[in-house]
Amino acid sequence: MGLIVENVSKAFGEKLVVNNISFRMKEPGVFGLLGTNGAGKTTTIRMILNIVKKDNGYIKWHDVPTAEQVTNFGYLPEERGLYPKVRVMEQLMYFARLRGISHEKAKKDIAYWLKRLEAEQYTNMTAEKLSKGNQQKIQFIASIIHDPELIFMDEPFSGLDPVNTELFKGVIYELIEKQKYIIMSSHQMSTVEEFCRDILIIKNGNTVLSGSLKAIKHSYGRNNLVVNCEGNITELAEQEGITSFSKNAAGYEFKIKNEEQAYRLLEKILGKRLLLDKFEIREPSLHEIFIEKAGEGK
Amino acid sequence: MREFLEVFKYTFKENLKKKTFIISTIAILVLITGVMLVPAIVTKVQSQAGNDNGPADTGEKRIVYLVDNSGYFEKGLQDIQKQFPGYQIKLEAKDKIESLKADIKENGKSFLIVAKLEKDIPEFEYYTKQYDDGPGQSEIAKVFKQVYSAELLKQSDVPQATISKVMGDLQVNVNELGKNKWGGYFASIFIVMLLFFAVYFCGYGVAMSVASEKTSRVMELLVTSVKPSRIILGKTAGMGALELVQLLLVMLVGIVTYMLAFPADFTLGGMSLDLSAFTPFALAMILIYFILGYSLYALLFAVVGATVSKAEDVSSAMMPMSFVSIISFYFAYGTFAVPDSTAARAASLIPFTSPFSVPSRLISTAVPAWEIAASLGILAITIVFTGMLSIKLYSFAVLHYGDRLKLGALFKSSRSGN
Repeated sequence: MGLIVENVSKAFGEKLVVNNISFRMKEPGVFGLLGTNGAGKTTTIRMILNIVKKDNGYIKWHDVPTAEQVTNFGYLPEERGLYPKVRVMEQLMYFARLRGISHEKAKKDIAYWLKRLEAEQYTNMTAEKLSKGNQQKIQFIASIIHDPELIFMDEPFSGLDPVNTELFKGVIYELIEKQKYIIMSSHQMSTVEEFCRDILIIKNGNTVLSGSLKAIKHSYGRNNLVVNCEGNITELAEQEGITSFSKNAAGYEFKIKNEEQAYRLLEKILGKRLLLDKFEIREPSLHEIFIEKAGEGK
Repeated sequence: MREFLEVFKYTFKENLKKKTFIISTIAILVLITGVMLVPAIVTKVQSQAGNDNGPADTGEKRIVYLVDNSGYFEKGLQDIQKQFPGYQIKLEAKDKIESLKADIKENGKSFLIVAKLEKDIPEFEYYTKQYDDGPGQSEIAKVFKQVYSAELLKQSDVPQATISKVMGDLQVNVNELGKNKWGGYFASIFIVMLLFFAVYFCGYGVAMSVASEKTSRVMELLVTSVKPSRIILGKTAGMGALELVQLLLVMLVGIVTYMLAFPADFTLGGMSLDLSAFTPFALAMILIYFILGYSLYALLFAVVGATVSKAEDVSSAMMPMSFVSIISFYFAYGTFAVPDSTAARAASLIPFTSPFSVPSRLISTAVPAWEIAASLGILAITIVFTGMLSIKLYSFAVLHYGDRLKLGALFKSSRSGN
């Protein structure tokens, strides 16, 4: 049960855009579909939604081809769009009615979501008068007004200010609590890391990494060392054979071969009586994994 | 069906509220009212202007001087006066010609006719300040020929009673047993143009509406909310229903103003403009052909709208379809003048021309029932096939962004699903 995408490919003319992608989402939660621009994320989502016909493979939701039940799903496209000259309430009502929701229920649900997303004051405004972020809120409501079990969010946080990003995050947590299946495509790795249990990284249409985020990170090991202290410790690190590092306002970030290297460096810092604010041995972040797997420098 | 109805209702409601629809409807209704009132105004003006042989009755009759060098018209002066009741006919001497001409040139209030003999046949010089002022050239020739002929007959000792009979007008009463040709002709022009503009511009509206949904990027949300087939059909039906409302309003206002204000005996250049050919059957057929014609064109226009990424590209993308519709219009327009010709019959059977051809022919001739049935059948079948093709092409094209899709690429890609 759940969502199954199996050996799905798509070529536009001679160009292979998605090549044999497979993944499964068996339980509710958030699945991260990651990749650089043009990697094939949106095409993959569009194939699941049958907007774009797949060349081969199969896609099923609860054992039924998704092509037969597209209108049951929720979809927040990457390209934001509403009817510019139509009032917010009218167009939300239109989308609700298209999904078969009664007028009364739609009115009640629209009011709930407008309040939840702090957009009540825009009810009678035309979409063209709203800011980009507020238009995104309205489009988000339009995509989930029918309370879908499977929701696709293509770059849901792009263009949002920090306040509205937090608001959207709250709504996503709410949807997770309601046992929804969410496929999220995003470039904001910290956000994906916050929500996603499983991920799939695509590069040039090919799967380069997939599986449980926790397991992936664990497989990399605790080989990142973050140190924030007074003075220059580059020389001390080199004495321990630690050469790869970056330095920013938050301090030093080293790549270590094992945890023993880190502890020896710690002893040296303490021996020099340097004031230490932070010493952390950790797994690589999703951002780092993404850069490694999908970045050009790979 | 529910989804179709929702798209239909939304399209109808949103376009009904648009300023362009409201303003165009008011403008068309004012125009129709004006067109229907013009004959009444013309008739009233004509009745005030009096008959053709004299100017408006201002209390003072203008003088037509007659210098008779032929000797035929002096005696028949009274008969000439009778034929020109709006003027005073006054006999003058030959030596006054130059002074009369000078007065006409100066004041333009009188006229001069000089009769002379040329090879024993009267010939006339007519002097007026301006060509279209005073008695007409043909009227002068007619009246003076009558007087001349009467004088010749009198000189040949023909009895006066016979002369009167010979000189009198013979009355010819025309009784049309078919449809009034000229009334039907003008009505046909009106109908073919009305239907063409209604179908074309409403279809254009569908294309614009689809293109706008693409431009505003709401299409992606829309196609995952409802099947593309429901969108194209609901939108086409919604816009069509709105245009139908406009057309019914035009008909209603036209009928009401015709019944209230159109003069029954109105003629244009002597031609009757009887509009009795607009029977309830003809009006019903006009509506049916509008609905079918609109359906055919609008479904294709919707595909055209789906091939562009920007609303401003619609006009250029419309070129091929515009050619088809304009050629169809001119074919129908060019054939209804001879409504029973082979070309007119062909135009009634070709699905792209029949929506314009049949209604206009119905007004001007008796179209056989089998022709109407065949025309409707062919049109309906074409609409079904066009609809199926349009849904397929629309579903593919509607989410294509970037360069405008060319027709060949559209067919090729829709077949392969790319």
